[in-house]
Amino acid sequence: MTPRESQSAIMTRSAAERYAERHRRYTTALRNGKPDRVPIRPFVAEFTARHAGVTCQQVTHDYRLAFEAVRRTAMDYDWDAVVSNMVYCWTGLTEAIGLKYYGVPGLHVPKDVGFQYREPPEEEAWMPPEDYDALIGDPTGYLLNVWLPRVSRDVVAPGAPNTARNNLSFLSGGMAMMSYFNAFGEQNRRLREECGVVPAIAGILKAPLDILADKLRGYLGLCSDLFERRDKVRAACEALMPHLFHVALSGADPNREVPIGFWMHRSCVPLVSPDDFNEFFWPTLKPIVLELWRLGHQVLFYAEGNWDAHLETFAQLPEGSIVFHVDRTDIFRAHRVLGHKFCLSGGVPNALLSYGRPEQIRARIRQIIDGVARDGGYIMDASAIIMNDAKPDNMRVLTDFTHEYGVY
Amino acid sequence: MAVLKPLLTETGAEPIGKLVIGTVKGDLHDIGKNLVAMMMEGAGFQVVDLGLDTQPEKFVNAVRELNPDLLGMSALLTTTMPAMGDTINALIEAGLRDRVKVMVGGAPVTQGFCDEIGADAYSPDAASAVDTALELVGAPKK
Ligand code: B1M
Repeated sequence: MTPRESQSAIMTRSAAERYAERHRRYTTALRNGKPDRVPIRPFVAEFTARHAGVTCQQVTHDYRLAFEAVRRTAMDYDWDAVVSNMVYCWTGLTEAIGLKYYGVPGLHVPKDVGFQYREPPEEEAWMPPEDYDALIGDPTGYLLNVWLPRVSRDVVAPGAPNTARNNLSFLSGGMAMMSYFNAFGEQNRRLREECGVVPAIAGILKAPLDILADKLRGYLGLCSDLFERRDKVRAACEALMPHLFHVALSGADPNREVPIGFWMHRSCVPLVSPDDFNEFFWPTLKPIVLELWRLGHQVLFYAEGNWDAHLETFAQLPEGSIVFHVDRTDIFRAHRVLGHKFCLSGGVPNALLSYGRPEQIRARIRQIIDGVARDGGYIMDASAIIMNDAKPDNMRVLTDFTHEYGVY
Repeated sequence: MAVLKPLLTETGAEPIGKLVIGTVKGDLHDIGKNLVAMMMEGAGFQVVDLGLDTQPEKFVNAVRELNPDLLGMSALLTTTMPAMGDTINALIEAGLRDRVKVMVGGAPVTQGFCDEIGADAYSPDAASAVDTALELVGAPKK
């Protein structure tokens, strides 16, 4: 027996059948085809804790509990695919290296509030403007030797006097990293084999311009740079391309079945002007997407905010190379411009899931399915990640009505 | 922002009204709120910015002490939207609700939510927020 065969032998038959059916449904839609019904793939974060009856602190402190909450939620709701763990911040890892930038539930924010990234004020940005040349010269070296010591309470910069805490942070941080990241393999296996649910994405991509704003210069810092040092911004984006490509590829699905998740935070209007999008964002992103596609990897554009101004640009990408997720983009326009080439997902406002009435949710789903999903190529999801304020009853309505109305 | 601010705000005219604005409790998103604040200043309002993660009591105290015409609240997370309602309730409890018009906004906020929590106006973006504010203080639209 091959390892694959022996694995399937221990799968319970019904889970195996469910997996095959959901996998077919999800991957057919990803490829812009028409499955038996609209697949459901909600990007659930802290909602899983609410469903499992535990706090945000518990799922952030104990990733096994977080994984279990994801499996339970996906099974109980009968979803086709989920992200293995959207509450991705694990206290064990952040505390092992003394990471400064997360507010952790129970430690820095109340125990029932989700973990949160905290952006420093402009003058305390992780990367000051005078560091551009160092970043451009050796991006990976810069991240390791300069950026990491700044974002950690324990890591000391090369050349500075060593400390026991520094040594320990590498030891315990490395061990934490290994156990956490290795556990994802097991989580994905259990999702497939025990729950019959498809792990929705594999790997992570961020655009060079986004990462510059997100984790290095901060949004306001980047805005100043777009006035004062445009050449440096361009060179930094170009320098970051190989690093970000490598990160995306190393986590990608070896079977090339599910897409790489691409988090599009901050490069749409009004955060970035269309001119800056055309000059910085797109030229340093497009080659990465094309190269990943050449290697057989689809990319899920998780397009936060409103990307109406850029749909025609995305439409130039090769057919099937991306999936376009709708947050505040006009979903009907997205369908007109992109629908002939790419699958769409999302478009159900999160506020509706938290504060809306069932008939409002049904009306939105009907509108989406009639408007963009008639020929397939659509995956049901909320607009943004689903936190612990989403009402369980509303999530049930989203699920049941899609099952009912989304049959082809 | 620092570059744009003087261009947007240097008009030299008497303020046409006073706005106290802030991002609500638990919310650290302030890019949109800052845009709204700057456009309001540009339109001639005196703006007092309470910053982000603003507790209801801080809004209430600002209304009591500064006597603004308008109180603006911004929320970007569905989890923090209820803090807008909490603030309005705190204003009612303090007997100050009638002294100020309340405006709300932020990506997940809707007209329906605004009505439900008893705010006076909702605006989907900074430009329409200015128009709404002018209307609320009875000034002609620009
Ligand atoms: C008074 O009257 C008015 C009238 C009109 C008003 C108004 C008030 N306020 C706004 N308006 C209106 O006018 C403005 C101009 O036209 C508009 O303002 P907006 O604010 O809507 O628009 C801005 C000009 C541009 N938009 C923005 O600035 C928001 C952009 C996105 C990318 C975003 C950012 C930048 C950030 N984030 Co956050 N962030 C996202 C956002 C996703 C996206 N791309 O939309 C969102 C909002 N974040 C989210 C999340 C989950 C989070 N974030 C977090 C953190 C952050 C950063 C700190 C990294 C950063 C904020 C930096 C800052 N200083 O503001 C965390 C929470 C922190 C906290 N407690 O608040 C964290 C929890 C993530 C984490 N686990 O760390 C999501 C919310 C999901 C939900 N269910 O609600 C999110 C939609 C991303 C996503 N797709 O999942 C209008 O709404």
